[in-house]
Amino acid sequence: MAFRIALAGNPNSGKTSIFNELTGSTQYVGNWPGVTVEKKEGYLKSDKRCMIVDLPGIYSLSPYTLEEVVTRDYLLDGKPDVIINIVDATNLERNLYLTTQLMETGIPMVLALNMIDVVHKSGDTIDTRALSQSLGCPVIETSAVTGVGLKEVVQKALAYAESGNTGLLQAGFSKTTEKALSSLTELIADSVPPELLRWYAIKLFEQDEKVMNRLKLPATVLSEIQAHIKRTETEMDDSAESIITNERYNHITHITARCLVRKARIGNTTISDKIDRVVTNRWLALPLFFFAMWAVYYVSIQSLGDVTIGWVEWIFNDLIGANIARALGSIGTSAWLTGLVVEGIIGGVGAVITFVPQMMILFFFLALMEDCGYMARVAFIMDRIFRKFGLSGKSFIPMLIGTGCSVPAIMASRTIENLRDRRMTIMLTPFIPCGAKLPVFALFVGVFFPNNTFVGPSMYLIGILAIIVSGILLKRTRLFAGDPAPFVMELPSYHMPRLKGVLIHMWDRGKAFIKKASTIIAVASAGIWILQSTSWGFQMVEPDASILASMGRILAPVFRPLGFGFWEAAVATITGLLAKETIVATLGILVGVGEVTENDPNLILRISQLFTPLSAYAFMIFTLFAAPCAAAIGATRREMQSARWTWIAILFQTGIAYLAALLVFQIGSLFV
Amino acid sequence: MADIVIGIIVFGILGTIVYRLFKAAKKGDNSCGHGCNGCPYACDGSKKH
Amino acid sequence: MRTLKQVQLGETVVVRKINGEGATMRRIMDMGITKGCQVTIRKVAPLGDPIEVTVRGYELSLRKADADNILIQE
Repeated sequence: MAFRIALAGNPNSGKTSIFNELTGSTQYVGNWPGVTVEKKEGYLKSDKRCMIVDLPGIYSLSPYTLEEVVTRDYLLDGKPDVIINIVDATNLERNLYLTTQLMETGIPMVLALNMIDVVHKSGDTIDTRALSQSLGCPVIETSAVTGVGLKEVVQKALAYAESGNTGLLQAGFSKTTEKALSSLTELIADSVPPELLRWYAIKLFEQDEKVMNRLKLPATVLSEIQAHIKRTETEMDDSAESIITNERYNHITHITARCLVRKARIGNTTISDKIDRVVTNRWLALPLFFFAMWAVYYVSIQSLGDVTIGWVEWIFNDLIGANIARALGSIGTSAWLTGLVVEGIIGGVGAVITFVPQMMILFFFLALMEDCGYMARVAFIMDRIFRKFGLSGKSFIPMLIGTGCSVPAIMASRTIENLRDRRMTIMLTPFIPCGAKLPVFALFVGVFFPNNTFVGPSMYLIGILAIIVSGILLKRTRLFAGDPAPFVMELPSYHMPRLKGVLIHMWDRGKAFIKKASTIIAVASAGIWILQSTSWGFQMVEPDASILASMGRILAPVFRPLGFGFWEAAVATITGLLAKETIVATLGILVGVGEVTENDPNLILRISQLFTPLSAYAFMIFTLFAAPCAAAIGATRREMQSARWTWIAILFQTGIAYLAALLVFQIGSLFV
Repeated sequence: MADIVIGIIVFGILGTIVYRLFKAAKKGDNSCGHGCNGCPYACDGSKKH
Repeated sequence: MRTLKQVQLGETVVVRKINGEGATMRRIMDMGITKGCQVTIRKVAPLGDPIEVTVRGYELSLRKADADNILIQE
């Protein structure tokens, strides 16, 4: 039979790992609450007709966050045949809180008690039989890491989907609450499907606005409901929402008292605690964070990464470029076409591909830091700073993703509830150097600052600094003033990073980068080469007399105060709007980086004829801040849902870029 | 002769890439492919729930 | 009456009542800080805010401003 299976559970409960195991797909898993924002679909490996939906990780079915609403709507409207509730066994109480709510949707459920291996190791015991009896659904011990129990979960889920058996034992509330709930049930009995009566009664009792709007009850019924709620609230001296939450947790405490035995912990210091004591230490936390970022950058871009450049250059120039040039020459291809292929396409694409190993090493380390749980602590450390300008540590999530690519980062800002904060995060996220900007920095660091280990990482520092400063300034304007966003976040335990996941992440980044280089960069390189080798009269000329040069010269004066007022830089800046790597490809074609190896004095000569170290740094700063690439601008447009705000963002970013580069060059000129 | 053959091949490939990019852009996939395969976030936003 | 904000580092207290309504307070309750539960103050962030607490066997971080809405039993 073709069933639809929904995976639901808390953030960081191993849902995505299980989804990957069941469907054979390779979604990235992070040790970070809230990795899945949207639901994802896949098909069961063992039965291709069955669709599995990976729902966003949530703590509750409240109406307050987007993820929770997405999940709720899917469960009520999408009507999956069965829910596999993934429960983090190391955190039973809080996970069961969601379980009791899922049970109220009336959909058959199977509970996967995940990470059971960790529980065994810690010495705790969970009586799965007692748990199963208390909930009225099958409970299966699983471990997504070892694959234990997954087969059984699927078997049970399919059996339950087939029989439609629920038999779930709903959470019971106190007498007073139950009385109010049964009154509400009577009032709405005609307006909702019978299996969802209890669900709606509870939601109405909680005064859930989304549900109230959905049901469109007549005013008389609504006022009667309100009267019941008021009466109960007065009697219990608490708000209705709080009553339900409290009693739900009381119910769970009864269950866990029956089935969970915690091993007494002596002095309660786990390894996680010991690590935490150091990395969130009052004095060490911030220096450690900056040191970690510096070390990661140093290893991936300069020490280890630098070695790889030579290899890729050898492959592209000596192996591919030289041989194709010879082959084309031997069959009598004209110089123009050979130039287009070898200098244009292979040169441009090669200049970008050169930096792929560096990027992959960088992403390897970033994924490592995230997977082991450190990045969640960074949000904890940074929250105070971020809040100073009205954002929460939560805005750190999009910015962290921004180290990869601004597009998903801008999209991740969806999780920020507050509209103002979301807009600000979207505007400021591109200030974090994305993977595509790295080649630009790596190129200039390689030519001008080969022995300086701080120039590269300084881009991150300046990016963060600019976010903070512009945040503080923007917050003072009318557009962004307001209360800070909340910060209530789970801090997951540290664990050994899963090498497989980290490698998948690294490979995906590298693959996407290569894909981009072989499509959009290849076309752009060809275009740039043609424009830089022909004149307006369609004659082959030296670059200096080309169409590209004359166009660049129109714009160049604008950049003169920044130190790079020559046409090559102007052209590179504009082509950078297509994709930031195009800047490297453009310079590669124009200066001929693609043809010479790194130690060739020619390259240093040619590129240092154009730039001085100072103007190179100003150019890096400009690239860091200037309007992001077309794809990121598109994402900004989609997420802002307003052309006006998109323009504000672009102008703001470019304005900051111009100002910062101007300051660097002018102040720097006084000293150099 | 060689020019014609190589020219057709090179511009054929470039044309195909451009065509595909446009088709992808029309479909709503973003041309930025960074991490979108492995990206846990909303890159599959076109598949509306 | 003390609130969670005033509790010393390392101290374990029992929640008496949660003031306030809306998304943030609901989130705090959803995360398991409810009437009668035990909360231990584990850590204060290097810059003085937010704080990290242990509740129901896991670590949660929240801001001092929100902790101020959580009344505790003496």
